[in-house]
Amino acid sequence: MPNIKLQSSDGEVFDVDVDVAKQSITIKTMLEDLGMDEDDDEAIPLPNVNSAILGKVLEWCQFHKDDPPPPEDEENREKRTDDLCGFDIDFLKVDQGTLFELILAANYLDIKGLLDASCKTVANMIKGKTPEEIRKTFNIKNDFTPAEEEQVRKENSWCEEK
Amino acid sequence: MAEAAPLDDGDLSKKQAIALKRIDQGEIYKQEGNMCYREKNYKKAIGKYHRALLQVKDVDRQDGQQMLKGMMGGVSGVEDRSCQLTATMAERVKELEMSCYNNLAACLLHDTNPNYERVKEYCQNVLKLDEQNRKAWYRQGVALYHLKDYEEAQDCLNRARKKVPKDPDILRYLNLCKEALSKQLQAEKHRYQGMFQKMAEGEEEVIEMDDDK
Amino acid sequence: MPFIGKDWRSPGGLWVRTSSGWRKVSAIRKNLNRHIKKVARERISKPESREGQHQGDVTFSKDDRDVDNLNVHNISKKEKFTAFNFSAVLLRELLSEDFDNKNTVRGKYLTVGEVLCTLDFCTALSDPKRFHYVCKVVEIIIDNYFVTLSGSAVKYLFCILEEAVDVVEKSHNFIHRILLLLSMTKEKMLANKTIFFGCLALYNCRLHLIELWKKRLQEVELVQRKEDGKLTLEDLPVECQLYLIQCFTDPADVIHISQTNRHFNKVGNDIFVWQKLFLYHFSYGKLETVFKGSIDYDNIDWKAMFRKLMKRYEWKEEYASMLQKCGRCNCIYWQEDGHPCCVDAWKGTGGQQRYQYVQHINLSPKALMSIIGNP
Repeated sequence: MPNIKLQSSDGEVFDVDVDVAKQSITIKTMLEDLGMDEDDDEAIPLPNVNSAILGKVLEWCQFHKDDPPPPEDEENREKRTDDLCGFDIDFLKVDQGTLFELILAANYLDIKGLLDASCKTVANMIKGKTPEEIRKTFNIKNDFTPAEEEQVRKENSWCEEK
Repeated sequence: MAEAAPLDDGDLSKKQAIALKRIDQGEIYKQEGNMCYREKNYKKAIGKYHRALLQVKDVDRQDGQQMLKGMMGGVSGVEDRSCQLTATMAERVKELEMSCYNNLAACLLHDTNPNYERVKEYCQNVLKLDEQNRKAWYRQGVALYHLKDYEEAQDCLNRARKKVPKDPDILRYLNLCKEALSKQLQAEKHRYQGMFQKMAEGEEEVIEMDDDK
Repeated sequence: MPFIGKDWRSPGGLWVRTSSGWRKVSAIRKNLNRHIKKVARERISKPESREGQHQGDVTFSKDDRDVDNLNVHNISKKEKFTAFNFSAVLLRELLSEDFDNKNTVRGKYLTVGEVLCTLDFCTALSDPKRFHYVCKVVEIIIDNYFVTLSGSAVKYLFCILEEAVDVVEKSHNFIHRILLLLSMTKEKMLANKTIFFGCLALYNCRLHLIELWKKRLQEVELVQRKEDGKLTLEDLPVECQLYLIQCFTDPADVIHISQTNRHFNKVGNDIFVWQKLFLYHFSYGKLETVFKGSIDYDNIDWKAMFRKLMKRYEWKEEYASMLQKCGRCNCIYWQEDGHPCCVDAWKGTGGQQRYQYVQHINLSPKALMSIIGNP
């Protein structure tokens, strides 16, 4: 398989197997438009992804390159968040900043599997926590006025009584 | 929405500067693409246009806001903090995306075996940004014609014709559509006739079988 | 009335002399058990060894009768059996058919307590895919069967709880889930104090343990996200935040994040999020029970609908890994681990037509308890 060159925002060039890079729908579309024989040696700049993150993204793509494509059907998306494979669990054991950058990169490059896995990881960090705990975990500033907060709490108190 | 923008001024302008640089770079790629297109080097042009699109993709977040139809405060009200483009920059991004998608559609149509689905997709992208784009309507019409969706194609071509009533290409494809549609109608008639005939025959058979009993 | 001595509860305790003095054999066994548990956990957490087990499974079943080949796969077969002892149990139903004429397998009579002991829920807890399943089963057991449990079953139940406390303490996720289980256990113990017989000291000790664990979990300090200038949850584009919120199946999670601040309040009240959540648990058909006449689908307040229907209908439950019941031998086992049974091997070769349609049934926690739970 031929290789293509991807360039991160800070200028580092990655030589990537086409099969690996094709997990990104954005890149796959481009390659298909080009008729798959990208003879042009010029690197493809990806200004939204820095080299550290691009390296990680490609590592993920390398591991998952033989996976079946995810179902297109947005409606029947699985909601399970506990079905991550062992590789993904270890792969996503990173600090929050990196995790969010991976989400951003997966969204930019349109890599559904990675977006799914990273979002599920964050979702697992939120599940079962109280609002106050979520604020603390993600450093979210509470900008409600006390009256507003009380109102929101009242409106939603039904969810606690199962 | 002053309270939802805690980024300080220095940071803001720095991020804007990066965005500006990316838009500039995108426009350079587009110019290069146009040059390649004029030289009839379509493959290379496609590469350039895609690079231009990658430069400006996700510099702004307009899409995310459209997705929100929240109940509190309706569509307005959600401010996306990563969106820091000035009005002129947003306008430039829109222009750039539009012309890139339009040109990509044009490039693809030059292929020996064009991917009409893709052409349609790109034209729709353009039309989402500008509903009045004559070229996009025309190209979408062509793509739909080849995808054998003649009625939709006719609709698109008619929209294109509103702008330039006498464009020979549009008229040519409109004629093609008409022909194809009438042919389709004929074929359908034929098929149904055949079907009815068969059904009639089938009924006869049933009757015969009943007779056997 | 037979003679009841001072230590009638543990007649004939064996003592051995070790390098550190006299010790009770049962105490040594307990330590040994703890060690085995640790080893098992390590093995399950290592993916390579599990692959090995799968291979063992296939080779074992295929070469069932081929004695020559058996030696080659001896090791994998043995491994399979040890892993198997932990994770599969036979149901009480007697098998109706003999296979191979000589291998008539009879199911065992099972009680909830035995299930607790045999299925090795402890190790399953450290597998994120099985965590929620085990929690649910334990919840049902505590809620409905607590008083019926035998002494050893209660002991195992406490082992499971302790393991759960360990797991969530390490991962910092789902702490409230376990806290809830602990409170439930305590409640049950207090409410049924008169029914329990046995050692009062043990009873008090267990109550004390629960309090200790609760305290441990309450004291878990969540890691505060620092201001490191890197991306935060709020910096993500709204479409990503929406995507994230759509991962939740429990409305409480959606609501909790919407209570954090104004921005997330808007994202968390997005109509599509609630529409999807509603349709995940309930179907369009359920809407008709609320509306009389025609339904205006464009203007449905999905959140309010959810609130209306949440108590009327059962919610959908999904687990990444479930226990399965084999249609042939009534064995209960974990989905991924499989079990030694002729059906799978024959299915592959197509040799035995009559097993082609044998189904393995997925057991939801409720289904599992309905099979084994009638004491």
